[in-house]
Amino acid sequence: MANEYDVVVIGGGVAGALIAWKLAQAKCNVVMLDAGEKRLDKADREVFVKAFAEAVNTKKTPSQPYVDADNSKFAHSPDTPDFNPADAANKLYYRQVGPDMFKSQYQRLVGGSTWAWRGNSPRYIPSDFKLKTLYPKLDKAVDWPISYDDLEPWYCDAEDALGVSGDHREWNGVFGAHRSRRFPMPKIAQAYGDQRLKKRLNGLKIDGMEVKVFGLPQARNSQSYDGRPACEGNSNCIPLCPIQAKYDATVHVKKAIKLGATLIEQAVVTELRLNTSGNISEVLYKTWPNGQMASVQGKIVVLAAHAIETPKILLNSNGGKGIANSSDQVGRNLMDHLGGEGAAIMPFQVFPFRGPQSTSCIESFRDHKFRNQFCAFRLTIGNDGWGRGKHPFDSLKDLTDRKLFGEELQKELNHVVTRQLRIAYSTEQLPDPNNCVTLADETDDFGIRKPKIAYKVDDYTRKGMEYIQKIIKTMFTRIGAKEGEWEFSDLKAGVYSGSAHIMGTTRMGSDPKTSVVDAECRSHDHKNLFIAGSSVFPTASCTNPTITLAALALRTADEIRKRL
Amino acid sequence: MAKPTELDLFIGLSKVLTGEKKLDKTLAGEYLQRLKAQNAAQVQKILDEFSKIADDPYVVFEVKRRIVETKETGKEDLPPMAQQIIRIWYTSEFFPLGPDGKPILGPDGKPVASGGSQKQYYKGLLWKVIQAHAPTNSTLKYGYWTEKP
Repeated sequence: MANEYDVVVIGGGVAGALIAWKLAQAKCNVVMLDAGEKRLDKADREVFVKAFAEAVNTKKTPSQPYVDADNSKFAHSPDTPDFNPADAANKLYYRQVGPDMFKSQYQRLVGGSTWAWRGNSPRYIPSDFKLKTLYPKLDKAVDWPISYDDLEPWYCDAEDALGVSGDHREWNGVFGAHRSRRFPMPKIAQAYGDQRLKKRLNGLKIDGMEVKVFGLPQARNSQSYDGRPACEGNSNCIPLCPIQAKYDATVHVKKAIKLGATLIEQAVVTELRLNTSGNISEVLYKTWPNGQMASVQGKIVVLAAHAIETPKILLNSNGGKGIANSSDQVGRNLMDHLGGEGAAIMPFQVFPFRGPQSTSCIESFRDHKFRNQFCAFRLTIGNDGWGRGKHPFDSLKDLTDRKLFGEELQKELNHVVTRQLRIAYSTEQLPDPNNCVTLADETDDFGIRKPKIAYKVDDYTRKGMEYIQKIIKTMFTRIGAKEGEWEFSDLKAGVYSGSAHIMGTTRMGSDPKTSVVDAECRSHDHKNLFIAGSSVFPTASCTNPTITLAALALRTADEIRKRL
Repeated sequence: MAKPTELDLFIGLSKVLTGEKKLDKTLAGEYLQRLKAQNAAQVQKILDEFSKIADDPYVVFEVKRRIVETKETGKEDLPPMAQQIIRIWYTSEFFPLGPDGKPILGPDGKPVASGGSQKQYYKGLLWKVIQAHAPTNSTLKYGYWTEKP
């Protein structure tokens, strides 16, 4: 039959695209379904760039360049307004029941959220995979069913596939994370301001931990690679690289198509149906804008729709009874890397908005002696002024409010903005079964129940943020930044940001009673269902999840290939 | 000497407000039209005021006294209009003013911005002043960011 395939992949983001590519390479008959539009051509990217440039500054959100009216209506990409309490009365996509606000977004179009990522690709470290064993006092912690060593060869393959630029000497052995292969490209050149910062911080130790400024491994080309150009420093990794020097998953969607895979765009999956053997028999979807119902069948089904849509699809499946959920863990353990920043006026010019939005990081706190008490974290040095906190347009407003104009305005604006620097933090969040995605009563335009999110930020993370701010203040003091010119996320007011690192809602584990998928990312309940993406992460680490989920996806693809 | 046109006056005032010695005439025409489309009366008023001092040898001082910092009754909307002229040149966007001289607020209680074209965004003076370029508009090559501009 025309709609029968070896493998059905749901979701054309990085996990789905890598799996489709590897299986198409192995001569499997693959179909990819994606809820959003296929925008794979250079001309499409130019349309996005124009949309970005012409949006007013306050509307330049991560999903803004991508979503035309139809895509937004039928395959809504959650964005900043979806976690803005002031808009809670509106018909938002997320139905948030609190007590805290979940603040991360994702993109629903072919290529997924890699359109709007920064490309940061540090690996997880060995302790991230055995949190419970190493930190038994943490009640919510669990171990992964695999170790760093199990995943290490796949990390290498993922770095080659995405094209990660990094410094082998800096990263080999960090917290025991050995590297068996060099990065495929030299590290991204570190920004001028980062170099000055590095000199000032040299030799600084805090609580016995040495503060070292590393070049940040990034899936961004430091030289021509895989047919894409070297970075030209457009200062716009999020929301959009205009020249595709930064990897996005359209790379592997196109490779998969070239190898014979079929892509069905604008296909919103409504549910998976089971046969009498308990396997997935059919994937039902509606195409937009007309809402026509269709279906595909596959010997294997891979659900790779990110950590909100994936549980949403599972819970909506089997006539709304849900599938793959004998553990009652589908949708639970929702995690993110909560963040914030410390910003300061440097005692020297750093010249932001030249080059990538970040090129350097501080990894010294990825694992620490206090991890039984509060979270691990990592720091990224921004190359974009005060980032989310204060845009140069806001600095301009401040100065013109003070009645500055003409040459005096130019001089002051240059003085302030060229010295602005921020250090962003990203924290570990523990899995909590009460932090969960369930189904709202409200439905979208296709009659599909929307995601409802219950979310709480616990003391483990909040205490960590207090400690982090002390660390950054120590660094600012060492650098010589004046205390009166510091700005910090207001912890007393509960201020934190999301990182769009959504994880945990279909976690992997050895025990079917407490996990959704096994170590190969196969459903414990349905033997022809695999789940790919960060939804399978049992714990979050404090580190950007993409290269880890990419490594897992390649590992899962290999497992599927063996079974076909 | 021919009487200056409205565009001449706008460019003259814009040079003083922005601190730029040379401004793109085509861009000036586009900005003037955008501002007039939203705030025709205020634009006319500020240009009328500037026309009185355009040839003054101390024009910067006069613009400060009579436009940017004026507290004269009946001229309350000159300072915010001057601010919007600076904004449009520096960023390509501005906040249209209501009859009270304050930015018009949207349903969310925040000022409603009027955005420019892609070309206008890229030509925003702010990026030049901070020695950078508008995001997505690098004309430089890999690694330029390692050195100061």
